[in-house]
Amino acid sequence: MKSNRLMERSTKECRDSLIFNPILHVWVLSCAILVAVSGSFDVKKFLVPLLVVSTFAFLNTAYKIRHTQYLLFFSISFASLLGFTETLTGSHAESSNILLYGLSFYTASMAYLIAQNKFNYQSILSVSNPLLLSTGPIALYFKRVSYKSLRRRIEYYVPFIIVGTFMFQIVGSPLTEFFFLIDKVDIVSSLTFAAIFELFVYVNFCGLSLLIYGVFGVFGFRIPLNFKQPFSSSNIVEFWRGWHTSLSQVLKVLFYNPIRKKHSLLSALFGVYVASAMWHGVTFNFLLWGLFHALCFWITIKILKQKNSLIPLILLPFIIVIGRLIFVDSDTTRLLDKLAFPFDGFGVLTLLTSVPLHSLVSLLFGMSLIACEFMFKKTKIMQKRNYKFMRTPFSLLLLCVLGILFASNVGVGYAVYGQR
Amino acid sequence: MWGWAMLYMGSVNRLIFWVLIPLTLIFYVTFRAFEWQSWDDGGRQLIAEQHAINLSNRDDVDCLILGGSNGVFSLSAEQISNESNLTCYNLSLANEGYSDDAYFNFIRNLPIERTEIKSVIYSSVYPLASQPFILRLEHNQNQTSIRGEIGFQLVGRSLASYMKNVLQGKPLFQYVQYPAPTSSGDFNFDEYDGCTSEELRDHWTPVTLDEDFKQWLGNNLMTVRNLFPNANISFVLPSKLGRNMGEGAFATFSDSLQSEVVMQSANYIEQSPFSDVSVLCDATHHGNSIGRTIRTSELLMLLDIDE
Repeated sequence: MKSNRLMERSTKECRDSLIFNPILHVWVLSCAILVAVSGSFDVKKFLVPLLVVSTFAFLNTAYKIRHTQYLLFFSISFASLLGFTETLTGSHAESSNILLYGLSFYTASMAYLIAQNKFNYQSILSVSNPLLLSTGPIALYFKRVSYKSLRRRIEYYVPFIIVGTFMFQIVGSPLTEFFFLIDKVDIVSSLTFAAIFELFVYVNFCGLSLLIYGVFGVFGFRIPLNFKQPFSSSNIVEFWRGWHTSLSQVLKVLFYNPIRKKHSLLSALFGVYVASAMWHGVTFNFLLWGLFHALCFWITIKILKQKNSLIPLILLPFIIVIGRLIFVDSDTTRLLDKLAFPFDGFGVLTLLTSVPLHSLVSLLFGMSLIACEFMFKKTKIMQKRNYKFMRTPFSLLLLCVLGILFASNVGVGYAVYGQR
Repeated sequence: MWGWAMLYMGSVNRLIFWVLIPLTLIFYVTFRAFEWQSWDDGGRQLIAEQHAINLSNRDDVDCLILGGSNGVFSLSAEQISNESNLTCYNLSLANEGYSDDAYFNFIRNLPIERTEIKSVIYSSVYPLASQPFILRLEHNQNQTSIRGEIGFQLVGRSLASYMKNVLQGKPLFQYVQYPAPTSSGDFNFDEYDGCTSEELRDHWTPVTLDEDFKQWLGNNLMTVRNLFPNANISFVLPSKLGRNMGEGAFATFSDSLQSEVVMQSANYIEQSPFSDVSVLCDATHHGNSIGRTIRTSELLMLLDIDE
C-alpha cells in the first residue's frame, strides 16, 4: 500500500517535472518562433535533433563510451566530406538533407558536455533547442537568469534584441549585394571582398547571436554570449577571445587542454585550428585557413612575450582579412589565383558603387560599428565587451530610428552559421 | 545637483526605453500596414487578363515564349513570327509570374490548344542571378500569386527611399505601371516611358548549380514538357549587361548548366551579353526596343542552329 503510494507520487513528480519543465516550454516556444519566422513547418527539423540527442544521452549514461566526444565533434566533418552537408564558407549553407539539420551545433554541444561530464538527460532539451540549432551559439549551458521579474528581464535583454536585429537586418543583409566580388582575383578586389565579407559574417552571426541571447533572456534563460566585441582588440589573440566564443570554448576543452598537457604550444594551436577548420568543412581552403591562423596566433604570442604590442596591432587587420580571404573561397583554383596577389588596378572601387545605395549605407554602418569598437576599446563602457555602448537608451533610440529608416528588402537574410 | 541629474537622466532613460522606442516601432509597423494597404500590382493582373483575351482570338499559335521580364522586354514574338516559319506568342510575365505554381497555373488556364504548340522558348534569368533565385524559392514556398502580392511584411522598400520620393516632389506610393501587351503578347514600348538606362547597375552573379537549383530547373522543365507534350523545348540563358564572372568561369558554368538542361531533354541556348546600356531599358536584363530586336535576331539564329 505504502509502496504503491510512493510509486504514484514518483510518477506524478516525474510527469509534473516534465510538463512544468520551463526548458520544455522554451523548446516548444522556440519551435513556434522558428515556424513563424521561416513560414514553414517541418516536424523532422525539430524531432530528428531531439531523437539523436536523446539517443546519445541514453548511450552516454548507460555505457560511457570513451572518446565519443571526438566522434561527435567530427561527425559534421564526415558529413561534409561525404557531401551530405555544405562547407561553411559563409554563403548560404543550409543542408538539403533535413535529417542533418543543426548537426554541427548539437554534436559540438554534446561533445563539450561529454568532455565536461555534464551530459545527461537534463541536457537534451537545451542541446536540441531548435532556435539555437538554427543560428547558434553552441549550447554550452542553459541557466536560469538572476532577474526574476519580467520587467527587469525586458529592460536588460530587449536591448540585445534591438542591437542584434540592427546588426543582422540593417547592416548584414544588404551586404550580400557585394558577393559578386568573390569572382575577382586581383589583390585589391580580393582583399576588398574579404574585408566586406568579414564584416558581413560578423554582423550576421553576431547579430543573430545577440538576438537569440536577448530572446532567451526574456524567456528567463541565459545562454553563452557568442561574441564579445572582437574588434575591441589589440592583437589576434584578443580577437579570438571575442569571436564565436562558444566554439572557442569547445575547442579549448576538446583539443587545446589535452594537447597542451603533452605537447608544445605550437602543436596545441595547430590541433585547435585544424580541428576548427574541419568543423567548418573538409576542404583545402579550410585546412589552409587553420594552418594560417595557428601560425599567426603563435607568432603573435611570441612577439607579445617580447613586450612588443605594436607589431601585433599592425598585423591584426592583415591576419583578419587574409584569413577571411582563405576562409570564404572553397574554389581551390580561384583561391590559389587570389593568393598569387596579382595587381590589376583599382577598378573594384568603381564596382563597389554598382551595388544598391542601401548596401553602401550598410557598409558605412558596419564600418562605423567596427571603428567604434576599436577606437573606444579602452573606455569604461567597453571594458566588459558586451556591447554596452550600443545598449544605452540613446544608442538604442538611434539604432531604432536608423533601423526604421533603412530597413529594406535589399539583399538576402540568412544565418551564415546556422542550419547545417 | 549630481543626484538630481542622475535622477533626471534615469527618467529620460526610462522615457526613451518605455515610450520613445516603442513609439518608433509602432510608427514603423503602422507605416508598413499603410504601405500594404496602398499596394498596387503595376498592372500585372490586367496584363494577364489581356494575354487570355489575345489568345482566345488566336488559333494559329504554335510557338510560345515563356519566362520572366527578360522575355517581356527583350524578346519579340512578332519578330520571330515574321522571320521564321513559327507563329509565336510571348507569354512571359514580369518576375516569371512570381512563383512557379502561379505561373504554370496561369498558363494551364489559358485558352490555347497546348498539344498544337511545336516550340517553347523558355527564357529564365534565374541561372544568372543567385539572389533573385533564393527569393524565387521563397515565393514558391509562400505560393505568391502572379500579381506579386505578398501580404503584410515587416521589411520592404525602405522608409528612406519613400522620403526621397517625397523630397523630390513625387507621390509617396508610386508604382511603375506596365502597359498591356500587343496582340502577339509583346511588350508595348510605345506606351511605356520608364526606360532610364543611365542609372542601371548590375550586381547579379550566377547561381551555384546545387541541388536546390537542379531540382528547380528539373521540375520546371518537366512541367513545361507536361504542359506542351509535342513541343520542342529550348531553355534560354538570356542576355544581360555583363556577366560578373570571368570568361573561363562563366564558360564552365554554362557547360554545367547545359548538361543539366540536356539531361531534361531540352535544348540549351546561351545568348551573348548586351553590348552597352544604350540598348537597355530599366534593368540590365531588360532590352529596349533596339535591344529586343538584337536579342531576338540572335535567338532566331541560335534556334536555327539548334533545331
